[in-house]
Amino acid sequence: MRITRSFGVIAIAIFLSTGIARLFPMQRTALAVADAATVTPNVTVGPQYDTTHVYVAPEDFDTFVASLVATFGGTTSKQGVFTVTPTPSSTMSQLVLTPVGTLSVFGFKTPVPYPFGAERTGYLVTDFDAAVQAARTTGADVLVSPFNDPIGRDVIIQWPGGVNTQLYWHTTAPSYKPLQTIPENRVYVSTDRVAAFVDSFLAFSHGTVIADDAHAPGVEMGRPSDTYRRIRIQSNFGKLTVLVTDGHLPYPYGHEMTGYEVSDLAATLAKAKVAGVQVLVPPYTSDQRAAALVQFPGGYIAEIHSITGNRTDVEQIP
Amino acid sequence: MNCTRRLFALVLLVFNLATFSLLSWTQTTEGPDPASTVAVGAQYDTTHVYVSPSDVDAFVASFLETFGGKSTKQVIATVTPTPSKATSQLLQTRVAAVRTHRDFTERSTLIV
Repeated sequence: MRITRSFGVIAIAIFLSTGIARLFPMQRTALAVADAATVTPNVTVGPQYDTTHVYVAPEDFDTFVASLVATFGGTTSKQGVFTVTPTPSSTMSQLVLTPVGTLSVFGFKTPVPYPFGAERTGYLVTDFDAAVQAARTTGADVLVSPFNDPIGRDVIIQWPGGVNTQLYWHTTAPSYKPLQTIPENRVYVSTDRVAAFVDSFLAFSHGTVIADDAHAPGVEMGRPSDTYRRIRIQSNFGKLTVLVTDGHLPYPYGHEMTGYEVSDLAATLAKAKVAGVQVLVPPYTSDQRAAALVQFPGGYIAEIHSITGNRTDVEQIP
Repeated sequence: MNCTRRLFALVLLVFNLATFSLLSWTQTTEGPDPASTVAVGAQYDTTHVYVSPSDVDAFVASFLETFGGKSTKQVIATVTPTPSKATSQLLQTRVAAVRTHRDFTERSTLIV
């Protein structure tokens, strides 16, 4: 209160002593500087270009890819063997384009160079150099500096809170069909770092918080008698759900990187089981969502859900 | 698969505490003022190694064969805040310190 008052007095004093004509240019300069520090270009392309990175053993590769397509439908790119790291390595690589999300599957034939495998997703960006700069400006750390792969360029960044993401760019722009449903990137972050993570990610993605529930049902992280904070973010990168927990997570919560939205959970799980997928957490309902956690052949753990009613988070849009 | 995932290899801090009596506290008195730091000593740094249960014994044997030292008795314990089971043991090796400014051999502690 006192501070506000003294600012008012100072403002009036400045106004009186400098006059309106001299004050305006000063304010404009100050605003321009603030904008340059916080606003970065929008480098997003679309959620069908978000690839969840899955590393499996080479012997599990084909079974895993087949189980994905059997469960979700979709198509695959031609399988190849490439070097996708800045230091020598060799990996089988294939893209799985399902109507509910895109996956980039790796089966390393050599040891995996550090820190590859710890990145969760790859995001296609419109302008690679601008994206790297934007990531740094908005608070991310560049873990693996930009490098070339056979078809473009890559970088691995880390958001505050320890979330690793690859940003990629192709010399020939890819063209994938829009998704039927947009999957969610499921990010587990600590209470200490959630504000920094959300600020950083929102600034980089030009996204918005569409829901922030301080007391979301704990059943969603395997603790039915507790609550946790759940933040849902929407951007042109797609959906991102932040699970803010104390880290006391029963297995397998936290291992799932992506949540896939399907129209009929039971039907999808039936197809999944035939394809050798193991149900780790049987279906439960929470927040107008029927959800299950599954493990595909080769080890990939995912959340799958379908919408069962009106979403509370959509109604909470500010 | 599930069982393999749930049973993993790890440490019990209680074993670490049990070793305190074997290690002289005076070894760390040359360090910073104890009141101003939470650090205790390098011999209490434990490298956490997770291996599959089927590899534990071979790993322990190979490590001790390489560096010498001893292992605590292997136990099965819950070392996470949520339910899980792990075999757990502490390996204490006597690795000759490269820096020899002290007149004792530094110990490196390894937990598997």
